[in-house]
This record gives sequence, C-alpha cells and structure tokens, in this order.
Amino acid sequence: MDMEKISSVSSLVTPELEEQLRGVLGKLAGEVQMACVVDLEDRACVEMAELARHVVGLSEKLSCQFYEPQEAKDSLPGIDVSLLPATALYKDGRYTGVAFHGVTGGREMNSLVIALYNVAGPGQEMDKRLLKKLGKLTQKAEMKIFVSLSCHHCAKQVIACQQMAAFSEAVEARMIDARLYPHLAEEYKIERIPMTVINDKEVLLGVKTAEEMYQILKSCP
Amino acid sequence: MGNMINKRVEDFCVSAFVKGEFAEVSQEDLQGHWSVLFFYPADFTFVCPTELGDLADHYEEFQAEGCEIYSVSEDTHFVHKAWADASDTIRKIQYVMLADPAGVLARQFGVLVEEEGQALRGTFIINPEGKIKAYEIHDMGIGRNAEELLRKLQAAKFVEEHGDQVCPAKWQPGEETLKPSLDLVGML
Repeated sequence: MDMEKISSVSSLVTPELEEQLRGVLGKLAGEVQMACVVDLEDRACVEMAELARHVVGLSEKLSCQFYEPQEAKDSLPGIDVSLLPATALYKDGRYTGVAFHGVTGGREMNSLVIALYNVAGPGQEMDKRLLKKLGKLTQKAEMKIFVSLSCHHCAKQVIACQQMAAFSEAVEARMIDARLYPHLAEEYKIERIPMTVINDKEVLLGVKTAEEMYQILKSCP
Repeated sequence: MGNMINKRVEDFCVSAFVKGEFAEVSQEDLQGHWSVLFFYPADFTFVCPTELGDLADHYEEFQAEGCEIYSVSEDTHFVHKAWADASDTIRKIQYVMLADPAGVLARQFGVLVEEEGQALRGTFIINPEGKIKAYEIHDMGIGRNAEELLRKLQAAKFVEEHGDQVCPAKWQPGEETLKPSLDLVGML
C-alpha cells in the first residue's frame, strides 16, 4: 500500500471535531486495531483511509492497518471486501464483528466512535443481565444496517447493533452507506432507512433498543 | 379530485416560518420562479425528519435551478419554530416552512386526510406561471428523495424550455461525503 497517497490529515475532521474526538478517545481503556480495505483509485476509499488515519492519530490506544482488496481477501477472513471502503475493528488480533462499509462521515462518525469505545472498553453501560445473556448467544447473526449519513436515527440503530457485536462473538454488525452501493439498494429494495437485514432473511425498519435487538437475535432464522 | 397537471394554484395567504422569522406567503409569492410545495404529515412526528433534512441538504441546488421550496404541514408557524428550536435537522432548514392549520392548502392540493387533520406526503412542482407541472402523492409512510425531486424539477424545466425532448433519469454520481458531526450526549 502506497501510504503517500493517504494523508494523515482528513479534510472531514475540523479542529472542533478533533477536539471532541480527543476527549472521547481519551477515555479508551484498551487497544483497538482498525483494518481498512481500500482501493486508492476510489475517492470514497481514500476519504475513509484518511479519516481512519486521522482518528487513530488522536489516541495511542488505536492503530490502523491498510490493505488492498486482494491482500485483504488473503489475510482478513470474514471481511467483505466486495463493498469498499471496508473498515473493520479488531481486538487482540480477533475480528470483533464490527465493520463499516462506506465513509463514516455525517452522523455515522457517532457510530464509529461508540464502536471504538465499546470494543476498547469501558464501553457503554448495559444491563448486566442482558450482557450475560448476550455472552451466551450462540445463534450466528450477520446484520447489515443500511444507512444514510444524514439520517439522525440511523446511527442509533448502527450503535445498537454494533453494541451487540462488541459483546457477543456470535454477532456481526456492518454499517452500509446505501448511497455508495446502488446495486444493494435495488437488491434489498431499500425505501426507508435505517433498514437492518439479519442473515439476509429478516428485515427490520427503524431503531430498536438493545433488549429488543437481543430478543430478535435470539430467535433469528 | 382529478388530474392536477397544468392546474393553476388558487389564491391563498398563510403564515410561515423562515430562517427563524415569521412571515406571510401568498399565491403571488409563487409567481416568477419555479416552486416546490412539499407536504408532510406533521411536525414532531416519530417518523424520520430525514425527508426535510434531505431537502435542506439539497436546497442550494434547488436555488441554483431558480426554484424556491415551501414545506407545508397542518401545524402553526409557532409549532414550526418550536420544532426548529428542538431539532438540529429542522434548525438547519433555510427554505420556507408554510403553516396550514386550517387545511386551506392541503385541501386545494388534494392531500388533506380530513379525519386526521394531517397531509399526505404530496410534492408539487409549480412553474413560474403558477401552474402545476408535476406532482406525486405518497401514503404517510412512504418517503421521498430530494435528489429524485431535483431530477424531476430539472426535467420539468428542460421540457418547458426545450419541448418534449428526452430527459433521461440517472443516478447522480460524485456526491460529496457529509462532514462528520459528533453528538454523543447520553451515550457514554
């Protein structure tokens, strides 16, 4: 990967946002590794790569590795490299099930920051009983959360789903910016957002609470 | 109500909320430029205000086409202000928010659900002479897309200027990524 093509300063990060990010990322308890799969010929990929570089530069707990698609296919099993840019979070070398397809601009910056906070710890407060139940979840669930960067509600649903993934090895939650992948918008007939598709079978519209998501995941097909 | 294409907008005068101020808007204000009337059910609804935010995000593009946008609901202008005070999405709106508590406009455009006192999601593209050139009416839960509306406005203008030449529909590539905004109150 030619790192000279990826600036360590993202034009999406204003000085005010950088200050906010420093405050939040300063709370991270553990380390998180980001894996960013990019095609340097694609504008959105470069934007996401620069955003990731900028963000990890704000905390010593964060690091980021950049991959070309073929390289990622070989060394990052489980990451869908067909939807670029793809960014996944790793903890202690293990894929956490938290991933983003698209640029985490607009409201989705909230999703990225909360995901880092949940994976690194201390994480968002969660009912202890629910946390315990989540840990015991064995039913595999792969969630695609289709969003728009301007949608207020979308980030809430992404955060709820990725919270499940952060605390359960059986759950994967991927944010997908529907604008970037019109073929998926057509395939899944996306008319409203946020739209969550579980295991390519069950479709949810709108925002669910953590408890509601758990109940749905527990019985998902 | 029958077909409304080429129907002239009738006289009206309603209160409005625009850029933090109250104003009055009449049928005469729609003359001399393209207009979009964008009906929606109500302020403060649980239904995503994304539609209005989406429209706000594209407002400059509509203005570049010489078009003014008027959103309309059956709320008063005071409720519009309260909503703007309470919501970042609504506060950023620069276009005119018409107040139609008596249902004058919603009835005229055939979108009023009388028993609920709310308007269906109706969108009307009106030419500089005050005639309706395109419209769509959705049921409450079916959202609209500002990009698609912009494409229709461009098509209407194109047809007005060039006659019935083909105006192809297509995706709009090259859209810029929204600047990130962080609002984590109550989340950490």
